[in-house]
Amino acid sequence: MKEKVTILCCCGAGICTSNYLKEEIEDRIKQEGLKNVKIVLCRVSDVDEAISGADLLVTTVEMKAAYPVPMIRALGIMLDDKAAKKALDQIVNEVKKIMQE
Amino acid sequence: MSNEADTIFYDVVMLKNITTKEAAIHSLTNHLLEKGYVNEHYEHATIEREDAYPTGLPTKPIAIAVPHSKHENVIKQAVVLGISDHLIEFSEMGNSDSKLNVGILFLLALKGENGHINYLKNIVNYCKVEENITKLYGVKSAEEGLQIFVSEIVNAD
Repeated sequence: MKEKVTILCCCGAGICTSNYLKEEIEDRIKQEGLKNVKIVLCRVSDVDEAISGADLLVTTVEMKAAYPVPMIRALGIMLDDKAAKKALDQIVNEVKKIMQE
Repeated sequence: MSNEADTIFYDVVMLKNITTKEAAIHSLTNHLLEKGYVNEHYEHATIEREDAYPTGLPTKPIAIAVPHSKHENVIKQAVVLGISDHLIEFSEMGNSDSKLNVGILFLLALKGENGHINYLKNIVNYCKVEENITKLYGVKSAEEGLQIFVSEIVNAD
């Protein structure tokens, strides 16, 4: 069992789309009643450094490298409601999975 | 509206005869540079970032783009809306191979998280609605655009 899950949200500049993802994920995590989920923002150039503290990587950009944690491309959150739901479902499922590990 | 939001500068630029994303970003950043909101590196940094991580979004009936770059080059925060008479090619966010014809640009000169106002979210939520894009793209003047921008997009919540 993992007590705490850290999600790293990353985008090109680390201020815009990652911040958008963070709010949407936070809302959904709250709805699901999940506790102890922390969301950290970073820009894509800082992922190498920030990844060490993360359990899950959520990104809006194409990642050029592979990382030792699960990765979810979540650009859908910003597009239509259907794509947003799909991406958020995927994130929540992954978080639950990590918590059970 | 909070004091924090009051410190952000909003403006609208009607882009005429502009056909490339570089020229569009130049025109919008130059507007901010003259007013002292960004430094001289902002334009180059934003174009470079746009090439590496494009910001076009496939809204209907025409696409939008939200160019921005790192906070280091922002002196005072500003969001500028550009409405272009020509459609300009931008790559799609997260998918550089997909090209979009962009008519509306939001240049985000921000320093980081902005408390309770999430500019990008407000912009995206507004632009998801086709009638909104049609209305915004149809404005005849910067003043008319600014009115919609401030009252319906920024202060939507």
